[in-house]
Amino acid sequence: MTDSERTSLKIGIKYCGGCNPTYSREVIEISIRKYFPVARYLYTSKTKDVDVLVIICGCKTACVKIPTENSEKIAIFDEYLPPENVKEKIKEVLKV
Amino acid sequence: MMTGKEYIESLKKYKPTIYFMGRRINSVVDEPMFRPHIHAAAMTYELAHDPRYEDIMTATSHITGEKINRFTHIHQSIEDLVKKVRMMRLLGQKTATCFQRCVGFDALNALYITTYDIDKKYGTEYHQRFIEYLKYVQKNDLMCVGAMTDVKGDRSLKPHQQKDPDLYVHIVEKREDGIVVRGAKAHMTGAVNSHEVIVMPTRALGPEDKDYAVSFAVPIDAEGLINVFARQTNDTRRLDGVIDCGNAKYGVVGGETLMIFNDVFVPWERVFMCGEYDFAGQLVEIFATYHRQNYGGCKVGVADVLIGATANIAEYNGVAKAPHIIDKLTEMMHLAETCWCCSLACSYEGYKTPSGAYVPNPLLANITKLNMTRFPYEWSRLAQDIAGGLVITAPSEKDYRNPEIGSLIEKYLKGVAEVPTEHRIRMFRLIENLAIGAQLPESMHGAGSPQAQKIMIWRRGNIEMKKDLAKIAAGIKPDEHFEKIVGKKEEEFFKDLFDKMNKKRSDREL
Repeated sequence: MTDSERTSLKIGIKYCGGCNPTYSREVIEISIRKYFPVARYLYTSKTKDVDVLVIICGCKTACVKIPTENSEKIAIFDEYLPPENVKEKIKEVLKV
Repeated sequence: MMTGKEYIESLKKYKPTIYFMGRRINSVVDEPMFRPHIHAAAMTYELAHDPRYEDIMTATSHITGEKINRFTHIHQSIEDLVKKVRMMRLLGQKTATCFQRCVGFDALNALYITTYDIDKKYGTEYHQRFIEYLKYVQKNDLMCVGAMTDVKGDRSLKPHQQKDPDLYVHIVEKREDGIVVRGAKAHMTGAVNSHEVIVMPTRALGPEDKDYAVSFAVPIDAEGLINVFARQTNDTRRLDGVIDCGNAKYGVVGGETLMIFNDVFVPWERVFMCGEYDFAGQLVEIFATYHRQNYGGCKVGVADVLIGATANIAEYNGVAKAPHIIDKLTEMMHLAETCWCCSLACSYEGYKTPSGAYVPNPLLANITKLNMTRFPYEWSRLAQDIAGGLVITAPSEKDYRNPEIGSLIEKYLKGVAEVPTEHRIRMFRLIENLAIGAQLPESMHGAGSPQAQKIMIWRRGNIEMKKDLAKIAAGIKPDEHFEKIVGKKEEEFFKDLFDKMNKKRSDREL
């Protein structure tokens, strides 16, 4: 992925409510921001305005509503993943 | 929706009549004894703006389609009921205390359902009035105190039988423009820092108690409304620094008042029940169901903090790896998660009422709350056991800060070398706050005392069905499915069985 591609990248983030997470959900966002530092970030639950929508759930119940449209743009996290695996998962969705 | 800061600012617009320790309190937000409770309630506002929590902290109004704080929402689905208890647990974790706003939330939902049912029977207009009021609450993101428990006087007497007729809130005058009410409500959680008061009857009522069948809403600073803020165990510790009270930011339990209605006028547009005594019991029951649902959420969130505090103190004391400590911490988690299971279960087993609003399963909600009158005592006992005696004998913050003796306290109250003594003292104080203070009787009596839950469980537990099951199992009543399995009557089956067995035996003997 080139620098300019990373700059124009729009990443949406949607958290579950976080009532009883089994890991620190924020580490997923931190990992993403570390790998894509110049991307544009917005907190949203809609897929239409972003290149990838990252849904961060605190547990396997994943009670948050997952959008049905543009499902290919969605990356769901429901457990802790090392930063490298987080990056790979996002890249998979971005097909880069 | 307001932020936490905006909520605190909004309280300044109200001029409620409040007394505490013999003083008239002129500014709620500037009173240090109230401030922790205000911060806890402010968390219900603040988290609604955090993308990490908004999914459970907010909802879409079914009336206006607007995004609203969930505390002003009418449950439209099972998912809403589940999200409610998720929100409770989250807020318990974030504040380690009662955040107060659930009572008004439950009052809104209970009245939404009951006003609909009253109108259906009597052709009144309470439901539409209530919807207008609800819109006002949602639009302005108001915090309402739910006022149910009357002071009750002699518990063996009905309201109209009391020597003093004012021991239950009642209508003393009906005017063209509204009603005048008198009486008092006890233990009003979050009253001093609420915007509105929603009043409901406290028990089922008969025709002779018609004037006590009254529900309405007034602003917290309505004329004639007086709040007397209650004392709590160790309450003035919050004036002595930040360590001794254990939870300086958010306090302990909700901050309750004795709320006196000294001839308060209520305009008709804010009256939601006026004499329909046959709906008083329903309103109480629905409110209690919602409120008892909460306890496996909020108190479990608080328990999460206590379990964490207990694990920390075990580390600070150098005993974290002892098998019995791990076992006790595991037991604490088991107890807390059991209560969580109850809250989830009563929510998932909820149902839709004719009004369209959803209500939790009443039997399971009462089971939830009854467990909360017991399990917190056990997890608190375990916390005290693990923490050790310093949980109640640690010196004061003032002595710890005293230049003459502070260094000696630092030296002699040290636990493991790498943890500062101050951290250890802070953790002891937090455990004292959570496991010894007012949290325990609050779990016992909040949302009704244990006997109130037992009455509901007995009513809804279907004992006759259980007796029948036993009769079938004991062979006293016919077992339809057993007879289908064996292809004959139960008696016939056993007769044949034993005849065959006896025949075999006698053949062997021959």
